Amino acid sequence: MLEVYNITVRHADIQGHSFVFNIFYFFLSIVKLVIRGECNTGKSTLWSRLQGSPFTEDYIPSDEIRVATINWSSRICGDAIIKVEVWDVVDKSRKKRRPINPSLKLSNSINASVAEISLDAEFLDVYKSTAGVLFIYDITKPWTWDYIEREIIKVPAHIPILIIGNQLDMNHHRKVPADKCLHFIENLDRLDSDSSFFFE
Amino acid sequence: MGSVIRYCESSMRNGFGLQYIHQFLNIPFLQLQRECLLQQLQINARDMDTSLEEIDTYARSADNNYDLFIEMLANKRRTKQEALAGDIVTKAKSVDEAKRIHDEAIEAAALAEQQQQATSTPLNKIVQVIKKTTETPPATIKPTPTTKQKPPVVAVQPIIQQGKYKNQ
Repeated sequence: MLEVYNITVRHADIQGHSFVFNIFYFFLSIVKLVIRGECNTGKSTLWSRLQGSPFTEDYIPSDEIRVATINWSSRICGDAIIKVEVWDVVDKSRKKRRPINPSLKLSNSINASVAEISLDAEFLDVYKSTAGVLFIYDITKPWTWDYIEREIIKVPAHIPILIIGNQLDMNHHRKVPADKCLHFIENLDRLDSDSSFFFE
Repeated sequence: MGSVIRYCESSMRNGFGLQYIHQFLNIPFLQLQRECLLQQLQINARDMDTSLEEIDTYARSADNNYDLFIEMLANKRRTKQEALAGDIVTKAKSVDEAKRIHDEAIEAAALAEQQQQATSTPLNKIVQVIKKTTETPPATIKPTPTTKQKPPVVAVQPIIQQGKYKNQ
C-alpha cells in the first residue's frame, strides 16, 4: 500500500519548488478511505460526489461494498497525484442469506442451495489498512447519529476520523444540534490515542 | 500527536462541504506517511543494532586475530612452494637409504682405485723397459731466424667461483 520512491532526480527537474526531499520522498500510492453511516444518510451519494458525479435525488440502497479510486492531490504531497481508494461500506447486505442448515449435506444434488456471500462490513474488516474513516449521518434523523456514537469506538485509535453531518440543505428540519456532535467529539476518549505504539 | 477526529457539515445536494472533505484527506495521508517514516526509522534502528553486533562479533572472532592471520599466510606460502617443487618431496629417499647409497659409492670408488693400483704396476715396468731400449736423444731442431719457435699454447684456466654452489 505504501511505496517509497527515490526521487532525487525527479525533483531536480522541478527547480521551482523549494521543498526538496533530497534523500527520500515518501508518497502513498494508495490511501484507503472508508465511508460509514446508517442507511439512507448519503454514503453512496458522497461516494459518487467524490468521484465528481452529479447529485441524484433517487434513493437506491446499496447491496454491497463498492470501491472507487479518485485522484487526489495536495500541496503537502508535493502536488503528486495520490490515488484515494474510497470504500462505500454497506453494513449488512440485503441479499438473501443462506438458510442456516446444521445438518450435514450428504446428497450430491446440484439443487442444494449455495451460500451467497455478499461483500459487506459483516464479512470483512473494513478498517484493515484504512487510512481514514468518514462517518456520515443525517442531521434530520437522530438515530443516524446514534449509529455514529455506537460505531465510532470500534475504529482503531490511530485512524483519523471525520464526522460529516449531511443534508445541511434540510437545516430547517434539523434534529441533531451541531453542538451535540462537537461536544461528543471533545469528550470522546479514544484509547491509545498516541502513535507512539509504533516504537514498541 | 493524538488521533484526529473532526466534525463538519455538508450537503450533497449543493456540494457544500466537499471542499472540507477534500482538505481533510491531508490528515489520513500524513498519518500514513508518518507510519511509513516511523517504520523506516524502526528498520534503521534495527539495522544499526545488527550492524553493531556484527562488527563486535567480528572483532572477537578468529578472523580478526593477527597471529592466526600470519600463520595462515605462512601456510599458504609453504603449500605454494611445495606445489612448485613438484614430486621432489615424494621421491625423496629416507636418510638411512641415502647414507647407504653414499657408503656404497665410496666403497666402490675405493675398490676401483685398489684394482687400478694392482694392475698398473706391471704395466709401468713394461713401459719402463720399452723406454730404456728405445731411448734415443730427441732430434732437436735448431731455430733459425725464419723458423722461430712459437710459444707453447696455454689453455685458459676456467674461473671457479668458490662457494657458490656449496649448498647444492
